[in-house]
Amino acid sequence: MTADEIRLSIKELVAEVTEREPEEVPADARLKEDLGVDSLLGIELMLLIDKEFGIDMPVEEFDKLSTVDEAVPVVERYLAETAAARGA
Amino acid sequence: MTRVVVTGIGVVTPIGSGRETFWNGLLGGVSGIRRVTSFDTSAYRVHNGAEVLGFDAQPYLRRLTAAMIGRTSQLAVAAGRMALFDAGLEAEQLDGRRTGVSIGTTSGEPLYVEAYNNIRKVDGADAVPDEMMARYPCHVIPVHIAMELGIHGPCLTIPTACAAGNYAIGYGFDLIRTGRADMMLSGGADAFSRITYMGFARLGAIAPDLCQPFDKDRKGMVPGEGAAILLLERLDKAQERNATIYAEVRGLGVSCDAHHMTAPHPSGEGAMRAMTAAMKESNIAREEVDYISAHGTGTITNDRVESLAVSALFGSRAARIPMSSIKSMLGHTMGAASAMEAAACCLALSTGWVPPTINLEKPDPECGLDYVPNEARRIYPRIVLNNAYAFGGNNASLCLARHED
Amino acid sequence: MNGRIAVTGVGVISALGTGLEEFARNLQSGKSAAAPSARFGGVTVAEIADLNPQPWLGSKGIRALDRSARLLAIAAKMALDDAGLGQQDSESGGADIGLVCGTVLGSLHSIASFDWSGLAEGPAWVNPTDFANTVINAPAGQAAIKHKLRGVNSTICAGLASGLLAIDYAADALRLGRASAVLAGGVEELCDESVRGFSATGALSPAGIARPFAANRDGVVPGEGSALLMLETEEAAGERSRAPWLELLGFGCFQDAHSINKFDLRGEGASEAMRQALEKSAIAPEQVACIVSSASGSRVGDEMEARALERVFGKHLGKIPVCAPKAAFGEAMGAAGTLCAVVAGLSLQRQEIPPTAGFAGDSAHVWLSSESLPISGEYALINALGCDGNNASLVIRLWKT
Repeated sequence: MTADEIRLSIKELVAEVTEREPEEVPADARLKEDLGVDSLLGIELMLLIDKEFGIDMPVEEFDKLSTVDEAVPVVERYLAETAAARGA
Repeated sequence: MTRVVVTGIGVVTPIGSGRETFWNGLLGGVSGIRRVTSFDTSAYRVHNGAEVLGFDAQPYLRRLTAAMIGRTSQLAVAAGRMALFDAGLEAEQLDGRRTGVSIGTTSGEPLYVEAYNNIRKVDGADAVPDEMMARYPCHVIPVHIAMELGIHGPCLTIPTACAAGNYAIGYGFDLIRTGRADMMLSGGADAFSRITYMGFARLGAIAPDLCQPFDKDRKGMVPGEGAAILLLERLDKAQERNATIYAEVRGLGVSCDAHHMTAPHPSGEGAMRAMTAAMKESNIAREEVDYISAHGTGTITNDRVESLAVSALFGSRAARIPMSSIKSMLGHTMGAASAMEAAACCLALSTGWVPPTINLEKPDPECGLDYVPNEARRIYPRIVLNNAYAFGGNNASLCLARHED
Repeated sequence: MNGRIAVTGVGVISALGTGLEEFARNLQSGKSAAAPSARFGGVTVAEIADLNPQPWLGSKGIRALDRSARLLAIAAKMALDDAGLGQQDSESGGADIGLVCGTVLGSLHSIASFDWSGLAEGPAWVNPTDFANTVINAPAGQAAIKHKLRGVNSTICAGLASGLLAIDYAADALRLGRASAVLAGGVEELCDESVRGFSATGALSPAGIARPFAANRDGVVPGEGSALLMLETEEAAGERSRAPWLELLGFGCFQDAHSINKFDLRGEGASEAMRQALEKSAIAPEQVACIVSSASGSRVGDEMEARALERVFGKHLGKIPVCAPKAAFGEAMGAAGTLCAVVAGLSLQRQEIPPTAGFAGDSAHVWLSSESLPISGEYALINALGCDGNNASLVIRLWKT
């Protein structure tokens, strides 16, 4: 998956939990302060991302992410790790 | 209006059953938090709970059969009978038409839902036994008490989650003071449930080891189970029969945050409104509050917001009002919690001792009040507030007073 | 403490109609909302088809609301608007409005589904937003968030009597000075688990027809819905632009302590509940102009109510028109008592009681009809009697200044 594809997928998930259109989710908007992703929605979002990409990101790591942009490389890393683990 | 007093206490808790064991345990800092045994927690990152171990309801049942009622009902009926016994009464002595039951709960009888799903997973939903369905609805809990003890007055369940016990006791208080009942068995009950455990675990709310309310390093709450029932009675009738009076119920204050389902309003305003309403109804001034039984679950958010609310409401006096959380010992027994806490408040008022908050090693400077760390203290309180805050934004404060003849 | 309690608004959403007007119209026409359900494998239920919350709740901020929460929040919006309190909340300076909700099962579907997802996918994958809906007070909590209802908020579980006990609880909150305005009523949703549960009790009508009081009745039809009354103190009601609709009078309740799921045929509890309600209203049985009964087609339940009615009303029973609206909207459990109260209010307003859906001429000593019956008098009695031993009864009248 390209970084852009990942970004778009995450945007769609953020849009879903915050009841917006994906176009209304800027990739650099702050999840908590700007988009209203509180602790409850945050966990829900994390689980949706994990399910969408087939990864298992720990909640401590997810909590550090402030924006969609910040989430992209982290998801990429977990995708690579999961693929490597499968390969091994 | 008629004055209402507490003349009986029945408790089934993670630190033992019966008023004496319960109270000695609380004053001695006994913890009921251990590794969960009622289901497999290997799929979780946490493994502790506060279960009621080795509980057998049958000795407390004369009309009902324990195996035919849910665990929550078992806990509640046992506590109900204990409360009567503690009050020196037999069920036959009750005027059934002038007695009612009000029970608070969070989950009702969740084990039937779990059993339904267990069966459904293996054999499909059609294989679920019929009688399970009838025993599930949470209103059966007080009905079981009514059936066991021959009670015919108002009989209901108030499932306002973690604050339910206060609501139920408040309802009993109202019914007696308005003349609709002479006695009420009021309290709360909840059974240990994987549904509850799973939910709190997924929220990251469960502490991996201890429950440490108001400690800087607190890591969360610990789910528990149990039941606590108070026998509420008209003061004049209690005096007529020379009953032991533990405390007087003075008032209930409730509010709804209407903000978030699982997190309190960050300003603590809902908690403040509930405490204010309780004091107003009780006709007491803030200066009269000697002790607060905190909700004190041990989560970062609750303990901070609760302390903020008390500080804001009581101002410079706040840090001089001892406020302890017995959840540090009992875990969070859900619908039973505020009823157990009310029982502890009654005993604090009648004995002069207040229980400690145990596991308090490094008080959180962001909390900043006197949490009665680790050692029980004899302060002879006269007016206490019992605070409870629940999912759905339900806040309830119960005001209790020392009974002086 | 003995202040008058006014009903200043009402919200209804049921299989028989969404909104008071449609509900009243369908009630009047004598139709039944019972029909075989595709959602429930052909079982006959009275369900709300195509529930669309948008007109009342908007399209945002409802994602987390399950069916029960949606039904309750819709009824709340209707009642708030009807009372002229739709735009007001404490943030804008209004008093804290409360909400007291009766229910039997709560969000059973949400609870069972949450547990199921843990079993199916493992505890790490359960949705925390769904966890919030597994507490029985969740619908009341969600509705409060949606409509900023910061006053007295409670959930009441008293079996089939819940819909009236919630009203009593709220009325007491007003009388005791804890609130000046409280929405009171109930909610119940139909779901796979509840329909199964109903079927398992053997209480369902195999014919799919509820025939209250009829000799050939063979069971109940499950229903769902929500109804809320806006209750206010006389003083608070005085600030509304419109006069109150109804006044709540005496309430009675009695627990049979006989069984958790079998009606007590002796009917002592049911009689006692009615007697208390009449006594507290300071009226004699013959002053009741109409009765909205709890009868649902249950073989034993209807007999219990019939006996109790005879015991309380004696020779007057044959002269008091009765409606058994569960024949129209099904056994809506936690919402039923409140829906029946709405029927009573409509009856007093029109000075005629609606027909009982499907009435075929046989109802023992109880005066049902397949057509509207004129009533003369100011008091209506409403029953909510349960197989769980909880029996409740309420007397109301139109508001008189």
